[in-house]
Amino acid sequence: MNEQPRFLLSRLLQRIDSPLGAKRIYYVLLVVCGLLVVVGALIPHHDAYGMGAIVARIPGFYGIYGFVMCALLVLVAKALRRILMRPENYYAPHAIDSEEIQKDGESST
Amino acid sequence: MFATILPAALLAQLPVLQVAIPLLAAPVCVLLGRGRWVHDFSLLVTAVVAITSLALLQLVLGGGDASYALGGFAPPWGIEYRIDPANAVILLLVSVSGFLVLLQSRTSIEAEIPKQKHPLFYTAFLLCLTGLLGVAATGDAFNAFVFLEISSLATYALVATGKSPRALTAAFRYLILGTIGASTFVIGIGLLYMATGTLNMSDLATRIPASPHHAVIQAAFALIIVGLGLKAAIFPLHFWLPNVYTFAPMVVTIFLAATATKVALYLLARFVFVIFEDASFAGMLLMPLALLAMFLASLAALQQGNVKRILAYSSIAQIGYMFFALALASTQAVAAAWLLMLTHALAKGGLFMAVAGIALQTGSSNLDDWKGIAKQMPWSAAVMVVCLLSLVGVPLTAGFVAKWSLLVAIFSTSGSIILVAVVAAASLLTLLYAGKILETIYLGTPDEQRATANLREAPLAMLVTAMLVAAMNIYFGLNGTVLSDLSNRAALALLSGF
Amino acid sequence: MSIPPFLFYLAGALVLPLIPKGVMRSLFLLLVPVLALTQFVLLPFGEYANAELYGYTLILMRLDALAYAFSLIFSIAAFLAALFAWHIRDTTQQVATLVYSGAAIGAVQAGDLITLFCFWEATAFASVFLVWARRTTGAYFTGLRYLIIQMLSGLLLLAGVILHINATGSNLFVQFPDMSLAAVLILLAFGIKCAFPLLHDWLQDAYPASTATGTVVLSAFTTKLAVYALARGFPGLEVLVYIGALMTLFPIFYAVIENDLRRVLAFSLNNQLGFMVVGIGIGTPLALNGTVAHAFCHILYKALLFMSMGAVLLRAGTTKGSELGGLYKSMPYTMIFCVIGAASISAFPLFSGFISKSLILSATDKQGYTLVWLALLFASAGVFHHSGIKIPYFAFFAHDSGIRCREAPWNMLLAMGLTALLCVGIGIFPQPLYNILPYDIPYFPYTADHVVFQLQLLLFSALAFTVLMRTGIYPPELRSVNLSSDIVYRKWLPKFLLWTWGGIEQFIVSITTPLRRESWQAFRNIGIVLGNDRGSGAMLLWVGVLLVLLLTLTYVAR
Repeated sequence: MNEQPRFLLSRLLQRIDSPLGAKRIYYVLLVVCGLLVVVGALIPHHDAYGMGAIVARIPGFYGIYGFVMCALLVLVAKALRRILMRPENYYAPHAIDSEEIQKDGESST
Repeated sequence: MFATILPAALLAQLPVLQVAIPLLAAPVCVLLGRGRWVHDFSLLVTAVVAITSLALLQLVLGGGDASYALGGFAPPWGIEYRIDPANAVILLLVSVSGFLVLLQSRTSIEAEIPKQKHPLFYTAFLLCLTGLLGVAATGDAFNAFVFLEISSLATYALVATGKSPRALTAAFRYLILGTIGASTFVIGIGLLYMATGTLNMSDLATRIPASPHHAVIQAAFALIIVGLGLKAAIFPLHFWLPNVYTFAPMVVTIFLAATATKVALYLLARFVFVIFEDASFAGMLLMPLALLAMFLASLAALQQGNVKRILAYSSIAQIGYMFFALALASTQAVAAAWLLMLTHALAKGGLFMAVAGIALQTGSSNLDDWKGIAKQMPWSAAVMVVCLLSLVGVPLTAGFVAKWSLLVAIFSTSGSIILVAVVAAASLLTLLYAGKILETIYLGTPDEQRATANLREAPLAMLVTAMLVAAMNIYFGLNGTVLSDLSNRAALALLSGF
Repeated sequence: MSIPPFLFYLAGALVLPLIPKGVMRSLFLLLVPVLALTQFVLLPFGEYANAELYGYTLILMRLDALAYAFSLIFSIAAFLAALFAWHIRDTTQQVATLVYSGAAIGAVQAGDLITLFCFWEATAFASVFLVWARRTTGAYFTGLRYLIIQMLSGLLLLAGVILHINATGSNLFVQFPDMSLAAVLILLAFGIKCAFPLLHDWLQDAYPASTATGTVVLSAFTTKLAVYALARGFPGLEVLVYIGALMTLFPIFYAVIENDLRRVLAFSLNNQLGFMVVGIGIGTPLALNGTVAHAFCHILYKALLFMSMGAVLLRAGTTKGSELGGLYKSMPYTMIFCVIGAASISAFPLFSGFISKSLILSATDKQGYTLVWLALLFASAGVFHHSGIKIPYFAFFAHDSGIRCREAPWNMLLAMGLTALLCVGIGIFPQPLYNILPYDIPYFPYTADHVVFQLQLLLFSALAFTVLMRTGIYPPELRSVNLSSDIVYRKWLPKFLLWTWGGIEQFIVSITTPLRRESWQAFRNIGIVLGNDRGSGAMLLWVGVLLVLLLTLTYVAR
């Protein structure tokens, strides 16, 4: 896949579309997340109420909540898949899932 | 309006003129030969008949029932024609249907029926019209049987003129079943005569409670219900209908779909409410049958590939609604039944008119041959959309007014939400086959041959009449009070006795 | 004298087939929403067009803050969708779109229940043609299911309206004071169209089954009409808070394991509807403001996401995550717009979701619904996960699927660009949107707190995604379908009915087989009941049966 895409944007993106690029993104993300926790602890909390006010005092609450819940989400979904997944033609021919792929199909019906 | 224009003497003759005009005109058709005059003459006759029934309706709504003694012999010995709002509405329905059907049918008749049979065809048509009008107009039980048989025999002949070889078998089956039904009916009438000594409907109404022959009268009641039920295509006596609608010439199908079963239902209602007066237990038997009709007929409609068959089963389901309403036996319910009859005639008549046009141009009435036909025949397709919406009962169409009043009547008569829910669910099934037809004609992809064939729109007369009927569906949907008032008057007249 | 906007759409639909296909028609389709918009955009609030029907007074055009906001966004959506579908030459789709959008606007501006019901049915009937427009067998059956469910909603609404008018004598569409039977039926009707849990399957079934342009139109109207109706009829109904919370939760699990990306968007739609329903349930001015703002923004960014997926469908031929990937090379602009839509739905600061979702979250917290608030927070993280990350990632990045195609056509890019502009514009300048909200409450979304915490939530979720991908735990995109509650009527009910019918047939055959007499064997032809053409003998048998039944009954009953 060494052909050059037409668009400048695509060529730029191609630079990060590699295992090394992905690793770099990962590290940048880690750093940003760390910074956010620090900033979050430092800024004044004025306008939260109720539960929001309580959790605002826990540094990084939102981050940890997001991380944990997302991870749980994916794991539970993966487990659900074992129960719910069926082959694509399960409902055929009464559904569209297993229908033939049509390229540029309905551009000018 | 008519009361002021026409002289009083003529007004008094209207009940018999209603029946006599088409009766006398029928043999004239034979004399006119096979030229173009016979169609125009028949059209003129149906127009006059329609005007007569309009005049009668006005007369009867204005004040008092119209009564005419045949031959001057006073009832109850003589035969009486008795018009009240209930059957005036039916008379109007039949005559206007006859007129509209003939208006649009010239091309259709020429295409389907061989030239030499034309005079006989129109004769039979007028006789059928006579018979149906007579059934509705008469006040004598045996006279009703006579006219019923006249219309039936004419119908058998009309159906048999269809192009397909199966038309003959369909007519034959209809003949057998129809004759059995009529025979059952006349035996019932005979038993009534034996028990009461009279044949006049209002006289029967007074004599039956007083008569000591209870068993005989009960038997007569059962026989009459079965006999008329067969004519009205009440489930499970409906088997003749799909084949007749499918294989008869289009003109005949349109006319029958709009009128024949409604007249038989009217007569059944007349017997049950006016003559027998207490029919609640029969209602209990008929209601589950009606529910079965609604569901099973709609399911059967789904499985058909021929459009005329789909619509035939649809008619059976709609008739199920009508006699469900009759079985409920309250004023509101009977008014709902009358509304259903009128709006169904509008919707089904319009549908079959559009089908006639499309079938004429494509040469087939199989749904598979109609894929994507809306591109080549957009106006006919539009008529089908409007009439199908009316059949389903979408708001702002005439069918919705009828469905609404039916649901309200069910709720106020029986108080049962479940019954309302069941009937409403049945109408969802109508959606399925209506959706099937619409999806095919608008979104189907036609095969090469059909797509490139130069299909023009239906002939002008057919198209314009069909569009007129479709417009009537919408007009009466927006202006629902016209039909509602008529139906209410009809129900009141029916339930208050002759 | 103002003309109700829906009349423009209706007239447009009638006139459209007469206009020649091509540029003229596409321009016409753009013109109709604009003309209709001019009718009410500057109009002061009040009731305008009245009519008489069946003896009731209908209010065809009631304009207040709630109706105005929804009418405005519906008109904008109709315009953008028409631009997106500029290249379409299918008359059926175009007429259906006009009737559908017109009916939706008409319903939102309806002042009484009967008018609402008429437009409710009209939206159902028009939109099914958009599902059928794909012209495949699967789409046909999907459309039938969709039609039945939508009409069921209409029937429930009809029943509720009849009961309500009977009980109160008034047909005005205002808040229902108590949960009478009529109100419950109407709530159910609204709930079906709003995709309440267990009533929701039609959404994920039908929306991906439409065409590339059809789904954009479908996504804009039906569900938001239901949100409007709920906000009008049942604000503050507490059970809606919990229903809404449930609605935000269950779709995000399905979204993770779903392959068809447009179906993922449909689950995401369901999730976002949950936020709106929670806002309605809480019922405070802040919450209702939040619902309206969220609906407004949601229509835009959901349309944008469906547009980008529609472009992918058009060019690459599929939207299945398992078949896509590496499209950034061929469709970078579509990718950018998709990312903008994704950022909006995730409520990134500077995008529209940020300024609307927070209203609902604040209101939830203020009213003390702690668990619900936590659930909404979870849902926000979840939506970022499947709409914000999964969709752009698996469509445009991930492994290279080898698909090389052209970029989307100019009209799609322009439509996406305008929508993206609106998403970002509202995100940066929320005040114009806040000004048309029903209640006048000052709200400042860009506080340091809010921005930092939201960024934390989102970026840590992204971190979770990255970690799961790197460790290989993340479930791959597989060609599959996932079962949902609709299995009841898609598999079980047909099987049950066939089994019952088969059982009845078997039973009758087993009884009649030992019979010697030929004539009695005619009973075996029970199939005649369903239309098989059998002999006259069977027909006559039924006559006999009925006669005997009736005679017996008359003797027994008297």
